[in-house]
Amino acid sequence: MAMKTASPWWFSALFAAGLLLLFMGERPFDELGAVRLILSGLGTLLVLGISALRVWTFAATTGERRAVERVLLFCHAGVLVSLVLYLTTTDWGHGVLGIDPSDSKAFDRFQIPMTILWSIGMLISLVPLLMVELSLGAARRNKFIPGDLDASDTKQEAVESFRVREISNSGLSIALAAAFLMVTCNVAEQRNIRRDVSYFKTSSPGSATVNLTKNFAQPVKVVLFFPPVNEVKNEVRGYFDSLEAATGNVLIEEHDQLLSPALAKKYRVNNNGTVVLVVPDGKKPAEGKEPGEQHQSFKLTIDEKATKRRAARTELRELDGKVNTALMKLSREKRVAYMTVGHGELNDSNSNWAKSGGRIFARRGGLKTNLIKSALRNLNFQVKDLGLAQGLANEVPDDATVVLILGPQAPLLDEEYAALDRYLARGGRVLIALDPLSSATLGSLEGRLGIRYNPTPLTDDKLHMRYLGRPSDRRLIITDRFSSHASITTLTRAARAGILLVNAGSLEEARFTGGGKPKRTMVIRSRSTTFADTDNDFKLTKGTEKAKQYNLVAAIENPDARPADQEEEGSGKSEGMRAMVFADVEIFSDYLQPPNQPPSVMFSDAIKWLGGEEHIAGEIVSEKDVYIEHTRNEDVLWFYSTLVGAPLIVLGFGLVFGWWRRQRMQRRAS
Amino acid sequence: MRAISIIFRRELATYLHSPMGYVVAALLLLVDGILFQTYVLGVGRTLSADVLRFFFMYTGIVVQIAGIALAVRLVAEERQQNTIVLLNTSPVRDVEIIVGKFLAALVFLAGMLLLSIYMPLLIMVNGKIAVSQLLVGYLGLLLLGAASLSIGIFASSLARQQLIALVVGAVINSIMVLLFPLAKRLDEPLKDVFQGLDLWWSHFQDGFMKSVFNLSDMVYYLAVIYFFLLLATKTLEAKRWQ
Repeated sequence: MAMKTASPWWFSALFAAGLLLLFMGERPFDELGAVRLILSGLGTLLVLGISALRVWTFAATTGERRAVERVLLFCHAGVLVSLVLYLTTTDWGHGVLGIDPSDSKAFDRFQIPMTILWSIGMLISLVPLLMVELSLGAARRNKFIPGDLDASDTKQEAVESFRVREISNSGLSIALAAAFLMVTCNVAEQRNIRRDVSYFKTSSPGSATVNLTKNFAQPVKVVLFFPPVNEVKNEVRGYFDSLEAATGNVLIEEHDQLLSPALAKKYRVNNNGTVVLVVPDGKKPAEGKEPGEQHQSFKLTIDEKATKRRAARTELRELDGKVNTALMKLSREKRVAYMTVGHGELNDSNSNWAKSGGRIFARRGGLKTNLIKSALRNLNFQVKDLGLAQGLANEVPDDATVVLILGPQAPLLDEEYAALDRYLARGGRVLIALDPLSSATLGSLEGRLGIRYNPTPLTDDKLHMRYLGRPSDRRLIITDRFSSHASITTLTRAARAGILLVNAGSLEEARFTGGGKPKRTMVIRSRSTTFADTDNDFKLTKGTEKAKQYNLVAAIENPDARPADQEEEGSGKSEGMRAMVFADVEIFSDYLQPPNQPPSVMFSDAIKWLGGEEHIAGEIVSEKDVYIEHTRNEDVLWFYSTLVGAPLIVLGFGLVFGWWRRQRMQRRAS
Repeated sequence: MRAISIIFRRELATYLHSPMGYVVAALLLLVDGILFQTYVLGVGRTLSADVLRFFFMYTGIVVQIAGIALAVRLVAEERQQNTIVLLNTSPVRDVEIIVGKFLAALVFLAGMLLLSIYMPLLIMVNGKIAVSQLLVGYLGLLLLGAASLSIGIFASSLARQQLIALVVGAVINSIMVLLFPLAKRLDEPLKDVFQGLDLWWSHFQDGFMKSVFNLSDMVYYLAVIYFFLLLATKTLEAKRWQ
């Protein structure tokens, strides 16, 4: 059925073009005065002209055709009203209505509702207009003959105006729904409720902190400076309550920094959110005076803003580490850890060795030891370099608690070996890590330590970490073969899944030549699937290579090697010589030493044992996120479960269910 | 409600009683698994929170494709097979047809999403993620999938051919995803409008995907679903007049 209307389709097309010109003039070209004037002027003329024509066609028609024109005219009228509302939001409109833009509150009260109103008005006018025009199309229109708008009425079949009304009503409801939803979304945005549900748990006191706290002769006083009501305070309080319950050696006080200025001044606290740990300084007080105190403090984020809240969560996840570090500083005087330099060590990327063109770790993927140094500082050590310039060729300094030799690329000088040997002979403590890619060995220390280093790289084609998916991954060996030695007590508990070693060599037993009663314990061994890859082909070659357990870390102690002034046994000041030798050095690089991961736990235990502090060894609890790593076997499991297992289960279920259903239907039919 | 329930059951049975439903579900799980293996686990050592985030990102892409693919047949197939006449002449309102079909597709989609839960559970076993993270992520995926479904139903109500409906649905969905990058190049107030309408970046990627629940994001997705279902209903109504 033909539905001829009085007005042609291009009325609406021109109307739309007018609106587009207006938009162009008011938005993209609003800075260009003349262009804006031309575009907006032309657009306004078109819009007004077409609207006038629409009024005329409406007036000149009758019956059904007039009803259609009425619907279209309403749409035009809606657009015109919206344009008037828009005008009030322009500078011109503000001038006419006396709106002062400098009064931002009053301005917003006017501008925002008017903007919303004209936008909604435009939407509920244009959407029905568009839908009516789409439903009518171009074919269902008369030619526009100004003098004959209604004359052919009777010759044509009547226009079904109810269809046009229906479609415009649909358009109106869609536009109103859209407007309503936009306002709803805007209100939801303004009144938003935000909840960050990412993993969060305040760390609990770890065994290291518990042991350390128990070790203090008098209770540790914990002074919390927080506002009276604060989420972070509750978490911190919960942590120290647990520590008190575990040790019975903690006293907790809560203060508001603003309400207790004298106490805050005493502990140099400037802001709330500060935790102060206080212990007696151990010095005899002057007569009539109170015993002295020493304190350590750290600050936590307590701001309630969302971004800061994330920072607070991160800090609370690692609260145990912060408390442990503070307690370590209170437990004893600072010690000195020397790290040898000058031979291309892992910690020595800028030495003369490097300048002379020697192979350095920095060129092997930027291996660094910042985390090791940071861990030493957390254990209340001062870290110093020890090389020729510092007198290593003569003697190891007397203030050295421990000397670390991390992966020298060139052998140490004979004089340096000799100085280290003398240091060990007088009860020194040394941690040595060797790199199979270097030419360094234990030199003359072999006899003192009873250890020989075999630089043939260990390889495991069965159990290794998948990294690049290449055969070289087989050098990323994993082991969980730990002894029960005091130097790795925590590691045994913390690394049940094993520990990763990269390009490791192996250790062999050698004859002791240093005298006394030395004791050597191989504390970490490889798995029995590991082999020394002598032909460097990453494969186990039968006949020449053998898969077995290799020694990876050795702990050596000699109670008889002690300073000359403590030579009498049982003098109690020193446990004698202690040393640890590692057949891998990359385990001490930053990429394997994130805090609280097994390698860093191992390092911390090793340093505590070397320093004679194994009684405070233990785990530091961190709720920090962990890295997802898998071995080759795990990788295979994940691969097949994700790619094959789950889809096959779904398909299988579908087949079985379909078969069962067919059977049931057949039974019913029979 | 009774009419909605009848249509819902009929449509759900179509998915569950035909092997095609299981093939589609298995295929989508396979695609999700490949993306998980290649781009989530295959990138090497990654924090468990990031692994979960990437999982939600790739599953979000899959769920949008699934939403459109599942929805396009809902109305267009009826039209293609001329069964739409039966629906039009039955005492069922257009809105009931659309809602019934939408709910059936949504339940099927939710089932498919539920089947993928073993992947984040694997992450949970090895890493540190909370159950609440999973719940929020899956809520986001469900809302995103439902939004794509509603877009797909609208496209299906427009077209006679399923393929054309698929193309139209994909185009509308893509436009809504690309609104955010487009908004960056625009000035106020269009910038705000386009950002507010964006289907992916501001409402999913910066919210549910990062384990952050925003009430406004949920309201937005419900609004999108309602709007496109309304459009589909009105289109179905309009097609009666043709």
